[in-house]
Amino acid sequence: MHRFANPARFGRLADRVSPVLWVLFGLSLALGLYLAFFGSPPDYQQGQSVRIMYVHVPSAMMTTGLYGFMALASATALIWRHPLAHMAARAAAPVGTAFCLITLATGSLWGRPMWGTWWEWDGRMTSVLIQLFLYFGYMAMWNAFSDRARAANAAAILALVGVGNLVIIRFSVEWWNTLHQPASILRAGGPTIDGSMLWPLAAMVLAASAYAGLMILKGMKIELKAVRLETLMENQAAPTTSYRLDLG
Amino acid sequence: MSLVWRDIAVLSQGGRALALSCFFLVLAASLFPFAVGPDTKLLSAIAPGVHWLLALFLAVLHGERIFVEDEQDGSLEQLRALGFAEGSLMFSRIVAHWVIAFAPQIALTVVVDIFLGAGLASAGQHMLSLLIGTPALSCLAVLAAALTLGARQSSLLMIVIVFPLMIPPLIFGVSAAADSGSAALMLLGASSLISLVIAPLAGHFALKAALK
Repeated sequence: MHRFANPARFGRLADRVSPVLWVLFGLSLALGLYLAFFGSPPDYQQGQSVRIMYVHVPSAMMTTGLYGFMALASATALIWRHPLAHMAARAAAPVGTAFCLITLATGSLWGRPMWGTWWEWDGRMTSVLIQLFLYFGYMAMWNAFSDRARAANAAAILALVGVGNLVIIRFSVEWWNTLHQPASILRAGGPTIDGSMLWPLAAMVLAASAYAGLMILKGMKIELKAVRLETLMENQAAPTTSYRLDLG
Repeated sequence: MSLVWRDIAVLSQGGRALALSCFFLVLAASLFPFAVGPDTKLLSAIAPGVHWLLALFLAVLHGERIFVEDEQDGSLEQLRALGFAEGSLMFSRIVAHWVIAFAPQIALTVVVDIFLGAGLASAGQHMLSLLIGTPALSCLAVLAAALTLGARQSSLLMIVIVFPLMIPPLIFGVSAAADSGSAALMLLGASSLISLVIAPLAGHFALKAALK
């Protein structure tokens, strides 16, 4: 794993992986959208509005998945001091936040015709909302320190505490109030959803994952450049600042 | 143990912090009748929620200062130099935070309940839920304080990161305060116990990074 700790080597790897991910993203998105709009039937109860699912469910999966990724990367950073892991976690946060917002927005649009309400304090909806708050807190943590290493450390610990809490939050909120349908894809005993709807969904999940991967790689490259820029500026600024009295 | 006494003595500022907690509670509780109207039926119905929201605010209001002064005057460094591990620094602050913020609240539960027209019968149940659940709030507040030590706008940041984490104890706490027969009290106790394990551990690493 530490073989990729070298920024140059990571950059080369990212440049090689990115085109593959772009192709995968384009193909699965095209296939998924085609199947979602033309290749799958309307639901016998929900009619055409069931097609919102092909955006809603992948986004929801990404919301949770990226939080998990963030926590894993943070653990890697704290335990093995892997220099790129902090950057991977930081890059995943805005992507996860975006998917979280999409989940909430599409859920709201779907809830209006189906349940007759834009928003309900239902267990699963509330836990996604709380997850949004956790994402915001994580990103705020990164921006709150002038010292990058300190920010990275605090944010990583927060991500780890958050992921443990997420399980408890999920449980507690569902225990508190539930209106959302129970899980129908990832459940013991196989999916209860019909194959004609499962395939476009799978394609859309693949597209969302490829997109998330691309954005994380991009975010990490930007982060690496930012670090390099900071070091350059520090080295350049050093002779002038050394004359100034440091009052901090 | 000497560390716990020291932290309580320093952070309570000769009892002034405790007195302020009491004053805050009575004042804040008396705002609710103005906010929702003096209907005692409504007020007593929301009493469990009022108790727990006040607890959340007490937790962050006392939490934000819990490390700052000792970090600025170097006391934290001195305590570390004396051989206290970061984990035990965390633990003693959690105990001190609980004493300053929540011991007054538990003592004043009856007063708040009288203000809200909830009656003495439910006050015992409210008190029990606060007693069992507030350790979790202290743990989370002190952990958030350790994480945000030295941050820009640290008090606001602390609130933003800690309120989402406090939702489970809030849910269980309100349920346990409202209904004596439910499993909420046990779940509340479980959240307190889990927090008592996690907060010193996570805070250990947070303080280590903050005091480097």
